[in-house]
Amino acid sequence: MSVESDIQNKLKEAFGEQILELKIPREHRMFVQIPLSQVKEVIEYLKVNFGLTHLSTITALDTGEDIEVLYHFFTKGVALSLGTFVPKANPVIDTITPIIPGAILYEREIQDLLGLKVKDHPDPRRLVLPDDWEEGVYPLRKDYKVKEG
Amino acid sequence: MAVTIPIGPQHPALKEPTNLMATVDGEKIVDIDMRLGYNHRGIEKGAELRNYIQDIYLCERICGICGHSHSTSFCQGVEELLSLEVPKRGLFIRTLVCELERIHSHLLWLGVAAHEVGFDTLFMYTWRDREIVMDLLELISGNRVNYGMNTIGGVRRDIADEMRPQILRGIKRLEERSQYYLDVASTEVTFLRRAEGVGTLPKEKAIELCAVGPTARGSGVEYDVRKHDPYAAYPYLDFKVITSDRCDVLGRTIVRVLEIIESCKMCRQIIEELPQGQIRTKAPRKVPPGEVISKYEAPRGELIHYIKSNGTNQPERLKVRAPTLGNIPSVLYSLKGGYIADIPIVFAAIDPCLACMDRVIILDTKDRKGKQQLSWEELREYSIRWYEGKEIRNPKL
Repeated sequence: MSVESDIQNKLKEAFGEQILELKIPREHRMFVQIPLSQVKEVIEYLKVNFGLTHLSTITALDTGEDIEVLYHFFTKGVALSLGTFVPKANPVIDTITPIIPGAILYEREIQDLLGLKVKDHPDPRRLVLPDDWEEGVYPLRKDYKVKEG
Repeated sequence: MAVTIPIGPQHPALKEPTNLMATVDGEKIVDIDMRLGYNHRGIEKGAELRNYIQDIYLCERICGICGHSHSTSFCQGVEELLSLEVPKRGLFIRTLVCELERIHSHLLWLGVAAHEVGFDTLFMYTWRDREIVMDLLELISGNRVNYGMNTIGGVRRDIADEMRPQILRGIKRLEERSQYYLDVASTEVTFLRRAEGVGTLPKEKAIELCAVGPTARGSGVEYDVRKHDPYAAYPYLDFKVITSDRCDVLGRTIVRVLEIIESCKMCRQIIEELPQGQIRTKAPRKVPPGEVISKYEAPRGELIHYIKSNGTNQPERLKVRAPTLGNIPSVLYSLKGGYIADIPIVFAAIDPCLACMDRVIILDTKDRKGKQQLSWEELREYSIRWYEGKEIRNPKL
């Protein structure tokens, strides 16, 4: 059995209905969608059972009402993306840095650019935006328009 | 007593702008922090405002050293969204440029590393030999940097049969020289004293902090996208993943030099086994809705592009994570407990590319808190005035 379908079966067994969507578009690729409340549990489960340690990056994107957050992991030859939707009205996610220490800078990056608040982050300072950047302006949100200069 | 000293953003020891705050007790570094973002250029936002063809060239300009990495990563992502099969010859030529780019980047790094430890003879040697591979890249693409080889569906320039002997000659010379550099890096006392046991990154830490590329492989982590998530022509090529258990600057150096030799072998195999046929297929301008992850082993490590399409000719979102950002937690870890004099070489040992890492300042003509920012027009007028002041007649721009 391939690693992809093994992960698929184990995840469905352990989390059942909580796995909202699961796609395997091709070999080495996997997209899993879970509710916001389950993010830490699923990552911890995958870390224990599938040796999940390598986080490639975190993507956040503006989908209108929500912000979609995708954690791109790589384990046993599979690039596994764990996605969840965060409502813009309350854009708060829990930090995963205690589980995956390499997440520290990626969480700071999405805080700056998409305006997500990462709860309990060990170092929530700005990462990429200048110090005098206006509060509450998040350049990668769709309502931020670039003025062609 | 501990003192905090700022290094950068403008500092003679740094090639690109960044800021390190080193807290030192005497000569020892007790803590170190880093401020990024001095080179943030808004490329991810810019990509959303341009079409896919324009984005290839935008991506290529993320980095001046490994531009081909970014354009390949972007193109193969879009090709996957389009379910487009690239002709085998196109894949081979694309991979040839990938490997030549790795050779030039690693030789450049070796020179920089030698310079950082005060071994300038080696710096001169490696940069002289790097010209061989720069000439080959120019022969193939017409450019020394920003090759413009990639397009969605394949590559833009073919390799003529007459070029093959010249490429093979160049590769042979590079291989000989790299063998010599391997001897130098592993036996020359001047270099060993400055690299052995410096900037230690244990294997467990490298895994925990998600290190990538030669930084991870120099600490014994066997992870190479070319092998573990093969793309382009790598499934057809014979090569080894180079690792070292030394976990220090010397380990990272040996990994890179051996990778040059391995890349030379791959280039030779590509030239010898270059399939016949087309170099590209025609790609539609509009991309159906979907999402894709494209991974690539850039000279500095794993590069990842996430592309989401929405059915138009512009991407909904492009996310780029360059390998340098992935290695920052590791380099901060390995600097701690070291000496001030080791900062340049330890920092250089991850082969930092800040242009790749930062990517995005947003051009904003609003005058914020009295700080001067120039719009494109203002900048152009300023440069015209500056040149006129130098009495250089400027043709109408």
